[in-house]
Amino acid sequence: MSEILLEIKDLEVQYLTMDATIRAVNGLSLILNRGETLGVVGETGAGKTTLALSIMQLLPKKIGRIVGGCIEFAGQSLLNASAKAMRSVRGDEIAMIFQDPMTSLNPVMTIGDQIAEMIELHSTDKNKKEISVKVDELLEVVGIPATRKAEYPHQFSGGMRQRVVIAIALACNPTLLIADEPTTALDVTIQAQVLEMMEDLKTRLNTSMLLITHDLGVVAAMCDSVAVMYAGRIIEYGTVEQIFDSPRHPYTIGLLNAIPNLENKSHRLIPIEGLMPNPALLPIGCSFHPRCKKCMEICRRQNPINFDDAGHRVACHLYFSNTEDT
Amino acid sequence: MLKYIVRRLLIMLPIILGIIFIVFSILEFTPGDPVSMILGQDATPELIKLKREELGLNKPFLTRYITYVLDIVRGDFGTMYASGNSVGEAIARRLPVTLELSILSILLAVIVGIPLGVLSAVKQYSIIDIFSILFAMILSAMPGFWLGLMLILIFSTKLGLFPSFGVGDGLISFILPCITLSATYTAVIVRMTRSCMLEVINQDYVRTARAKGATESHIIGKHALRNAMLPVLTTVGMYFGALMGGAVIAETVFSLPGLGTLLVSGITAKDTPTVLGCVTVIATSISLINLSVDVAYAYIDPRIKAQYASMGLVKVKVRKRK
Ligand SMILES: Nc1ncnc2c1ncn2[C@@H]1O[C@H](COP(=O)(O)OP(=O)(O)OP(=O)(O)O)[C@@H](O)[C@H]1O
Ligand code: SF4
Ligand SMILES: [Mg+2]
Repeated sequence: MSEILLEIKDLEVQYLTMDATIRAVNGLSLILNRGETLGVVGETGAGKTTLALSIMQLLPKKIGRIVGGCIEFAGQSLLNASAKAMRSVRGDEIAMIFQDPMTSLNPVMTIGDQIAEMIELHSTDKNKKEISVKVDELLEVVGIPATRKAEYPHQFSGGMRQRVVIAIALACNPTLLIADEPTTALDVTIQAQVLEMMEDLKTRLNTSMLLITHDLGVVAAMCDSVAVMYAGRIIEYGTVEQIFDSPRHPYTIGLLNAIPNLENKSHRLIPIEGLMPNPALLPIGCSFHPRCKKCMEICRRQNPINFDDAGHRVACHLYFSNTEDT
Repeated sequence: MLKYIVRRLLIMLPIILGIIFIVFSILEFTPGDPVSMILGQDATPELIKLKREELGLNKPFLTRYITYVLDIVRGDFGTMYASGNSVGEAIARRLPVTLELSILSILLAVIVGIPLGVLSAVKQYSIIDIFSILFAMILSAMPGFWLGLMLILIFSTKLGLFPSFGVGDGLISFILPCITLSATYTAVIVRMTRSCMLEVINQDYVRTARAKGATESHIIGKHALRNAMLPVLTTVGMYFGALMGGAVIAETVFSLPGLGTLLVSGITAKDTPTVLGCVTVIATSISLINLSVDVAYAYIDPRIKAQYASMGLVKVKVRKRK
């Protein structure tokens, strides 16, 4: 068996706003093995970014709060870690690529300095020259000429900024790379390039990756396993084959139907009807029930637990025909 | 950048000419006659006529305006009506006092205001934050002349720590006037710095810096502060005009021999050359300060620098086409 790198159990995260408590993550559990890529998919608002920020412990101060569960990384509990310990984990062991490359870089600092900063923070033994060499190297890796390192973010296109963000994340050879929709801000050709580059780096450095995306195509191309998120929970988990070939949860089935089919053009895109529930007012029972065509009586009352079949886990009452007795 | 600066300097000319024109008109069309002030109530009409001719007041308004502007261009600010002393010399003597007062006040405001604003934002809702908000509120609520008088009352009259007037004791005589003058300014800087910092702290790039594993002080000092300083700098520049105005009050309260007191005495005597000389010098320094703020801005923010560079180019192209 492969070694567990990241284990999250029953994570609960809330945002406290003026007028509501938003339950962004509700009892989420997942396991990521070393060297593995896990895709996290789900609609907007499902809590994907919140999950990533919780791992990094970068939830917005005072507003975002982890209220339950535990996060273990390489055997160390991150939730109990001191601020100092957490700082040495961030960037060095877990690096994150943020969702929006346009705002993720400091506008008044050259991109070279922003990459160098990451190295300076974690390898204090390196001198200026070595750092500068490393920065050039990283820029070449992500396909930006090293001669442009003295330029500022506004001088680069969105795609290039995303590459800079990736270069920063890779600067210290992290054990775990969290990529929050690394390609949504990019156009299709650049998307493919960036993904290819990440894949290449991952295999070279044996980095584990948590790849957050809306895009099932990206998942199919990049991931070993998939976690489907809905209203702050993982409602289905399995290998890419399991999820794509035999999806079980009505939501996953709906998601897969929503992708336009290239082979059969007449096949219409079937979006899932309805909207994600308001995370401030989650429905009782299965949180998908207001939109579920197969909704049963029990779904309105009881939150389904995971049904596990050879590692393919699904949280849906359909697969527990007689759970009520147990 | 150089082109931009030159362009801004050129734009300053019509602005200052306009200001002189407005002040000239105000002095012309408000009641009160300098000649009767000089000669007293019971001067004979002949005497008044003679004096008017001597001062050149019998010529039409526009002629006098143009003559005056041409004189200024030559560096001649004219002579005071009453004493016949050179206005230029008086300004040269008094400008250093006002400059020292203004610069020291700005320094004081920046040195107190920025750290307080930063602390306040970093420790939002803490005791420090509440204290500095209160402090800023009190500072901005106190009128300058009142604050000046209170300071004199307490620290000069009662405690005898500082002189209450003049600049005879060097730097120490500037302390109370500087506090008086910088009060409002400090309040503005505290509030601006605080709100800009609060905004910047929530920006994505600050989160990126956290994700790198940087310490809190590194994040504040290296990422947040520089970005937050941009709008603060603009405010500092904008309020400089107000500070020069405040300098008049502070100088009057503390009887400092600066431009402000010269201006006030000029206004009471309806001494057009004195008033115009002071106004011209003050307006020019405000414009120059605003320009240097804009230039500093470009050095902090690379995006602005690029903009200025391209603005210079566009202008040149347009001119060539003509
Ligand atoms: N700072 C915040 N304050 C209040 N609510 C928030 C905050 N950040 C996120 N939320 C709420 O938490 C829920 C989950 O948000 P999150 O950003 O994790 O979604 P996501 O899955 O990343 O969505 P997307 O695909 O659009 O990035 C949403 O309902 C969102 O409105
Ligand atoms: S538990 Fe019920 S409502 Fe929820 S997805 Fe399954 S069938 Fe639908
Ligand atoms: Mg997100």
